[in-house]
Amino acid sequence: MLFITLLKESIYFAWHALMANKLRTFLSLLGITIGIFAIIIVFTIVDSLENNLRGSIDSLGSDVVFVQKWPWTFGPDYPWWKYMNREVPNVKDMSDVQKKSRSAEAVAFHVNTRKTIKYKSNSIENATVTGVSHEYDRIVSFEIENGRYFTDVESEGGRNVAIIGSTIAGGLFQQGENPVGKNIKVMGNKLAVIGVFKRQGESMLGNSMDAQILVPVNFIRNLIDIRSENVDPYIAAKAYPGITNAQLMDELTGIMRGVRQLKPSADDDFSLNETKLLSQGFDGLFNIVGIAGWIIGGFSILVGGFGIANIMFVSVKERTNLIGIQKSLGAKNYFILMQFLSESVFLSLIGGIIGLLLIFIITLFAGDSFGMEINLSRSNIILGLTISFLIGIISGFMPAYGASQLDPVEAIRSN
Amino acid sequence: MSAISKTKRPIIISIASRTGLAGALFSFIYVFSPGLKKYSDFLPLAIGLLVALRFVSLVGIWHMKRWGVELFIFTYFAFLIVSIWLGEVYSINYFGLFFSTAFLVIFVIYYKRMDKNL
Repeated sequence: MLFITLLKESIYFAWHALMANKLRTFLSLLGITIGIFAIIIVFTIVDSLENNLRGSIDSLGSDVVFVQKWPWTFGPDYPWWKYMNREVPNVKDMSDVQKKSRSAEAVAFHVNTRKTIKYKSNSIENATVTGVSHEYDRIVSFEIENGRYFTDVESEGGRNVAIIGSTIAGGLFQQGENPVGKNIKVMGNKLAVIGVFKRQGESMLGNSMDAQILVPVNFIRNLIDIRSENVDPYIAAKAYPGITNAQLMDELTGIMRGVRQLKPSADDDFSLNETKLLSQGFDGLFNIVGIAGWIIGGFSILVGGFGIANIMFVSVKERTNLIGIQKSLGAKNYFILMQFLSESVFLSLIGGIIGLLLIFIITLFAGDSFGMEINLSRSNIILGLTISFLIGIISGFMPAYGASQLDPVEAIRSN
Repeated sequence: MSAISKTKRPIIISIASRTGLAGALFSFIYVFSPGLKKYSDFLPLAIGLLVALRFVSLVGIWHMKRWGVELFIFTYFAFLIVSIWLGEVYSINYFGLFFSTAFLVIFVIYYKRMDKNL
């Protein structure tokens, strides 16, 4: 109880001491504000970038293996001439994989191109038109807000139906108009809209469904050459639960080598990619940016701490008389210590809170500018407050302890 | 002589405590490194508190106070336990451990000469 009373009194003294000289208080806490701002804003941006990127990568599926012509990562001396002559995956390869694979829960074929989409007098140029086989919805995660996915008959028969992204829907149709059931035109062909994707927002990998339209691959193969590398054809295979990507990749290697009729001594003429390769590539980048921000912010925090220590020494010097009077009236050493330590911690915490508030305000508006969500996370708030609190203790302890050890008589006598 | 303490402070204590203070300040920066933050929200706070206590103990030793040495011993073993427990996340810094051990020995040698009071 006594401790709580002393703590309350210390905080009361600290508050009044800080308010007695507002300009000096503001200038002292500015160092901490800038230091906290520097560290936490870097961590906030890096965390937000990382979350957005991992969300985009996860939407591709961490248990999905992609059969493509090119690998996603290259070493310094990769034999590019070997990859140039490779065949791209085709629909027959996908069918063979589907029939023969025991490890893949779903297998789908994917191509995409950019075309102009028209509806009445509205058009969107350079929109992504993606042709997929029927099991695509079991591999890639997306939600259809309005309408439905393709039926087996529509996929196999290559019917002229389409599912459009929210941005496409917003650009072609009037507000309030339901796109489902309407006909849009792509390359002079009518397509009936059967569904609209739920808005996903920007994707770091550019694979957001918002600006795409999805059509059956058996429809689009009549309009474009799906054997061309320009349409980026690939086969995606999703593993059964309990099957690792390594096991799936082993099986796919065997099946594809059989499909391509490769001799045992021949190299693979296809690449198997997984999203783990992308994650690993970005991990190093985020670590470097995080460490850079940490070092820069760390030193600015230290400078802020020195500023607080300096002010506390001045404060002790100014109030030496008062300390002498307090001690002569019976104040214990630890009370004087707590009084000045509270002032230091209070000052530092106020600086830290202001820094965090500035970051919070920035995150409210920066999201639109960056085209992605930027959030001040709980862990960064805790970190900011932790740093402020600890800097307050470290900076304030020396002057506070010095004040507590003053001789009352000498203190009262001092000018 | 310490301006406050009645006990004369040996030069080796001055050197050791100043070196320790500088080391504590720099190790404070490590407290909010990205690696620790990812492990747990409260790990930076816990390790930061130990660093702050280490700093406080060195201030006490500078003023030739016994409580400073006692607190230093506490933080020495606390850091050791945390490093062993957390392993890769907060590994043992053998360079720092060597100096901490050397300082500990010096402080214990001069313990009896130090002031008992707060």
